[in-house]
Amino acid sequence: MRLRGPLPIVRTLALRLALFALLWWILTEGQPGSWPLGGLFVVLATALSLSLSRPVPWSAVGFARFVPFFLWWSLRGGVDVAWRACAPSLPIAPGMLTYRLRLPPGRARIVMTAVISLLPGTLSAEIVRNNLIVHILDQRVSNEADLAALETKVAALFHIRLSTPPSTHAETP
Amino acid sequence: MSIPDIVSAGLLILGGIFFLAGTVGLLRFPDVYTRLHALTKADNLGLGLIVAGLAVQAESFAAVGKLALIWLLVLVASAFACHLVARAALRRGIEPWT
Repeated sequence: MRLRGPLPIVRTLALRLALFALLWWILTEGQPGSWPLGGLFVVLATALSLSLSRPVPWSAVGFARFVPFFLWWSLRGGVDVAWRACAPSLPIAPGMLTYRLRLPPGRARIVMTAVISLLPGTLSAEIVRNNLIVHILDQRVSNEADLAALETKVAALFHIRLSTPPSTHAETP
Repeated sequence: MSIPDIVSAGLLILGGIFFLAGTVGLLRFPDVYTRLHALTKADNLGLGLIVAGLAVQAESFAAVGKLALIWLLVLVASAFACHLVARAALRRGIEPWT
C-alpha cells in the first residue's frame, strides 16, 4: 500500500509529532513549565513510533465521516442492548453469522473487528481466513447490511477500494 | 442550580442508568456471548455519557482532553477484551444459546 500525496514521510512525521505533543499537553494539563522535558519525550516517542509502525495510508475525509458514524452507532448499540436487557420478555434471538470479508488482512480488519463489538447487536468472535464469525443478538434484524455499511466506512478510512467479488482478496501467505 | 450543573447531572444520571442496564443484562442474559453484548455496548455508552457530564464541569480544555482520552482507552480495551473473550469461548467449544 502506497501513501498518497507529496512527501508521505514528512506528513506522517508531522502528524505523529502533533499527536504526541497533544498527548503531552493533555497529560500535563497544559503546564508551561513541563515543555522542556515534554519536547524531548515528544521527539523520542515519535522516533519510537516510526520505528515500530510504518506510515499508514489513511484518509482525513474518511476519518471525519467515520467519527460521527461511530458515535451514532455506539449510541444506538447501547440503547438497543439496554432496552433488550430490561424488557420483561427479554427480546433476544441470538445466533452466529459468517460474514465474508472484503477488506484485506491487516490494520483495516483489526479496526473492523474491534468496532463491530461496539455496534448494535453484533460481536466479533473469530476470523477464519476471509470469514468473520460474528455473534448476533437478534437474528430478526438485518445484521449483514450493518456489517457491509461498517466495512465500507472502514475501507474509506484506510483508502481501500473494496472489490465486489470477495474472492479477489485472497489471504496472502 | 446553574444550567451547566443541570446538564451534567442529567448526563451523569443517564450514564448511570446505562451502567445499570448493562449489569441487568449481565444477570439476565443466558450465555457468555449475549452477556458480552450487554457489558461492552451499554458500558461504552454509559461511560461516554459520564465523561460528557464531567467534561461540562471541567476547568480547562486539557482536562476535557484527558477525559476524552480515558473514554477512548476504555473503548479500545473493552472492544479487544470482548473479542478475545468471545474467541476463547468459541475455541473452547461453548455453543451459543439460541
